[in-house]
Amino acid sequence: MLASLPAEDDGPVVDGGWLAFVTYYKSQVLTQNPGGYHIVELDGEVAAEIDFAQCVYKRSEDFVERIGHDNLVVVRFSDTPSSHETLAGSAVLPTDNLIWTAALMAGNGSELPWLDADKAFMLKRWPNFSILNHNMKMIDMASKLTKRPLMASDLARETEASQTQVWNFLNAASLLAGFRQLEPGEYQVMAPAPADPDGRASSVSSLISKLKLHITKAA
Amino acid sequence: MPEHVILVAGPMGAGKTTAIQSLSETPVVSTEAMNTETDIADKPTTTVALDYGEINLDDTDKIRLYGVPGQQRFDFMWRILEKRALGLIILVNNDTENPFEEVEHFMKEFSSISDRGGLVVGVTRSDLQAEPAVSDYMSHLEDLGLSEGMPIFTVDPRDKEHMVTLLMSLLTNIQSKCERPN
Amino acid sequence: MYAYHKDSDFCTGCELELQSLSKRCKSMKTGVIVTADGFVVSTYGDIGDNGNRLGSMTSSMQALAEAVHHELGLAENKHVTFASDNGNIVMCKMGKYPLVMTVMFDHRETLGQALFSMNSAVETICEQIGR
Repeated sequence: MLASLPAEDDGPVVDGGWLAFVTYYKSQVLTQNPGGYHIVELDGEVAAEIDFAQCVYKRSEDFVERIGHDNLVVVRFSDTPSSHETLAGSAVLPTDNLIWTAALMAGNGSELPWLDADKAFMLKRWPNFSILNHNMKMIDMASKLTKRPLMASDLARETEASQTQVWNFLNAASLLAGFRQLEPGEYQVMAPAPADPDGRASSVSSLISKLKLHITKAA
Repeated sequence: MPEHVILVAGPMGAGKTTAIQSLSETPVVSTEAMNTETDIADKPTTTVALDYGEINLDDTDKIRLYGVPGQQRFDFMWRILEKRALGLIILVNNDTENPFEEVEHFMKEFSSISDRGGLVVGVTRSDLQAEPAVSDYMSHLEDLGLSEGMPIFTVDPRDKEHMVTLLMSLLTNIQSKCERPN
Repeated sequence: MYAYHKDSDFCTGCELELQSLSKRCKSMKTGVIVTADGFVVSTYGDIGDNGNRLGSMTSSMQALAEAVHHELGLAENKHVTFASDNGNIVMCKMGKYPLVMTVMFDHRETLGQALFSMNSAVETICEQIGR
């Protein structure tokens, strides 16, 4: 719960990298913020503005090109929306999109401070991928984690994803409702999946591979 | 050629026909008739039999997309088409009167598909009506014990990328279910 | 679109025309007139569920027939016929109006006679609408 709104002249609420950004927002409940705007600067230049009341943000046209693991991220609070020309006329997106993107960057392929590589993780809910940056590996990981708890190493093995891909995904997912980090006693380690007697899993797997290839070719 | 049938269901006006048009790589076969229920959905026509589209993956595989009419009076078409379906996409328009009831209704009507395959839900028209949020759908279905790791996304049926994401999530979910049926 | 099924005078007129058709065609067992989107305007004979189910099926079949016509490059569909050993079902589009008439005849009726009689009934109703 947000304790109190910062004042405009209190200085930046975030001044660091994406880890600082994500750590700050992890401690907030955005929808309960009564108002105000957060102006996000990347490497010294205005890049986005978060409108809490509406749970949306605007971003500069080159925002996607500008984001990277090494950004200096500064966030300043404002009572009023920014009139910065970079944001004029820009599309409005859900804040979840920004927080997710930030979390993908923040760990740079390793677990964020609140995650433990020796624990298992589970997702009670799928990420709303339509509004989040995603790829097929993430869809695969979400599918596995919503079925049963997995450690990062198991998730990597089952989805043939790299450790970097797994941790970036887990970092982002850890900010979602329904994400759980489980102690060893809280879940049963499941045996590897049984052989596919009716060939159905293989058939669907083949279908997915073909569809992936087909989409890639068409793009 | 093995066929993989995906069904698209949901209430009238949810965007089923549009979704199939977005996904299909062949001209969509539509069966539209003049709509006399403009009080329910303000559009001139409505699907009265099915929509049919295809995604041709290669020489041996294709995905067949069938959209069913949304009105209960055409449920005989639902029974015909669900028999061959691998998975189901339920689309529900967020500005309908009782979106939760609509999702529950279609999940129940097509329970045979979700039991043997997979199910995803796409919430349309969230740009026109933001509430309920996707998290509200999830909470509601979780309370009823119905969600069980089911993907629920906000989608624009006119957006091919959205629909592809939904389709991929459906197939991946089916695969996971096949690997571990219980 | 005009909701013909909610126009009670029109519905009555259609009912009378179906009865008149049954007098001309003794082999007529049941009949229904529906809107293109499957709502029943009027019925004749012993049809369960007030003809609602048959009405929806008529709408679907008519639309599927039009889709096939379009696929094969044929002009607009005029009627659809189902044949069996003990009777035939004919579905006729009602001119330019979004309405369809479906009639079931027993084995005594030839298809040609059935179509002729139905076309006559359709013309009568279309003239009423046109007025």
